[in-house]
Amino acid sequence: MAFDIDRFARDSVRVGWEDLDLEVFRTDPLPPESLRTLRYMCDVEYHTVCYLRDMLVTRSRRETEVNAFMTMWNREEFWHGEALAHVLSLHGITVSYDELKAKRVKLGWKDRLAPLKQSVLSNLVGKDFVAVHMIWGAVNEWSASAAYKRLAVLEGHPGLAVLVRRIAAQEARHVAFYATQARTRLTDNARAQKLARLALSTAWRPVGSGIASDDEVTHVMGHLFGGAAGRKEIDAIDRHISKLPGMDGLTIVGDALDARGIAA
Amino acid sequence: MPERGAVTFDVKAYTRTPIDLRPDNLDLSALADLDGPTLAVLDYLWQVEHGVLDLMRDVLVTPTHAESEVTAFLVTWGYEQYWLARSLHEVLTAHGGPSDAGRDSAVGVVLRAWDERARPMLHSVRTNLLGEQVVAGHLAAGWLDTAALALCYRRLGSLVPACTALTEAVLPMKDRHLDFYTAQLRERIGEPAAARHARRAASSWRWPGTRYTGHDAVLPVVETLLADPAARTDVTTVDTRLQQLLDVAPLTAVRSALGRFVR
Ligand SMILES: [Fe+2]
Ligand SMILES: [Fe+2]
Repeated sequence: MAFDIDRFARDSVRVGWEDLDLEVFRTDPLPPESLRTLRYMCDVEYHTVCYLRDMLVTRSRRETEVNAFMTMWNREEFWHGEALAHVLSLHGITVSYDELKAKRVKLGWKDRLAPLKQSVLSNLVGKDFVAVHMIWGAVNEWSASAAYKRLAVLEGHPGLAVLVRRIAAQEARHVAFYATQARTRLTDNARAQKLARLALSTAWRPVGSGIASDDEVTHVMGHLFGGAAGRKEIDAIDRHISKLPGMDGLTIVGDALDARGIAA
Repeated sequence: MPERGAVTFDVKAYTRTPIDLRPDNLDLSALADLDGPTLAVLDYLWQVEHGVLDLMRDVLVTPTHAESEVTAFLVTWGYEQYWLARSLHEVLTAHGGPSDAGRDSAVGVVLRAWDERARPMLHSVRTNLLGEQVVAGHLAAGWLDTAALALCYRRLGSLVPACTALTEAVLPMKDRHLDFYTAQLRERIGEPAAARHARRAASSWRWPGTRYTGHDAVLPVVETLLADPAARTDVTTVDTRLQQLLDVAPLTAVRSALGRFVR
């Protein structure tokens, strides 16, 4: 699977919703559990810039083709946040710049020290650290893509389904980039494989765990991935991961659900 | 440079209407046959404009990353910068490609290695201790970088008619970036700590692109664009605007930065 970065950059657009009749939410609103999930996903999307920061202090940044992707990817994710914020605003839920700022400030030292940690790690571990970033990104994009697809299925609301499918289509392209990068960098590199496996099996948490409370994470995971149909999506992610070089047998996403007591 | 009275800046509106200067959106045919000095200027501009992610890194490791209004701006700014850099690159490619991009000076080699390994860490620790007001320093530096480059484009447009269409397309983008920095600075400068950070950043400001490549990188700009006494008014105008913005009379950041390699 090759990934054409020039083409990705050329075709990258902000997700649009102007053509969708979202005003219908004013009379036919989404149920509270979906709004709670949307709010969580909105925060995760807006938080991408902090994840970008962590990448920029490691060596992945030095590679020019990666730069083009990062610029467009960062903007696409920002617009996912804007789209979800718009849906929430139609339900009287405001996501303002001030509020986002307050959340990031509240993260405090943990978040402030993140660049330091990343920087130290990447200096210690060197080039192989990029492979870790790429596989980490792949897992997160797979999760995002599955989350939007599940949301489209769970919420029969016609306006929302179209919007989240558009977002999911962009997430699928992000998956392609990260998975391609991860595969290339892990292939024939035992050290990078060991490092990536260690990082995923010990440090990986569901996307958003750093920014939302445990209760919120459990709600969203249960809402989207509880039950047989949800677990099928999660198993698919674990299968994708285990097919990457050196990741055989890993089931980190399923394990995370089990740890939270979310039944299949 | 026209005086602009922006007090508020609508970041939401800005993110919705980026100025997209990708090669397909520009008529680059007028730039098919440029002379050496003009190409040297465009080469310099490309070198500076395409380093956007370096700048983003330096800003995001500081408490500024929590400023969601600033990061929303940066997302769109990065997009605009990316396509501008691609277009400049395309012009250079049509003339045999940009000059060797790896032409760091001896000092620059050391600085770049430092910037990529140690500086983000130390910078992150130091500014996190200094607190939220460091953002004013970033904004002042952003304003100056942008004003200096806008000055280059403006001079280039008036000196080289073939470049006028390009510079006319770029200048509104730069003006909008300046409006953002201006509005943000005005909002924050009442805070003494913010004012201090902004003034300090302005007085230690260096001409963009000199960190790694040394003063040689800016020679085309100085010789081709700013050597003419006619340029002096433009330089003074930028300094005056900055003085008004930061409320410091004796500060002549741009003239001083130029002075470092004019002599
Ligand atoms: Fe997204
Ligand atoms: Fe994504």
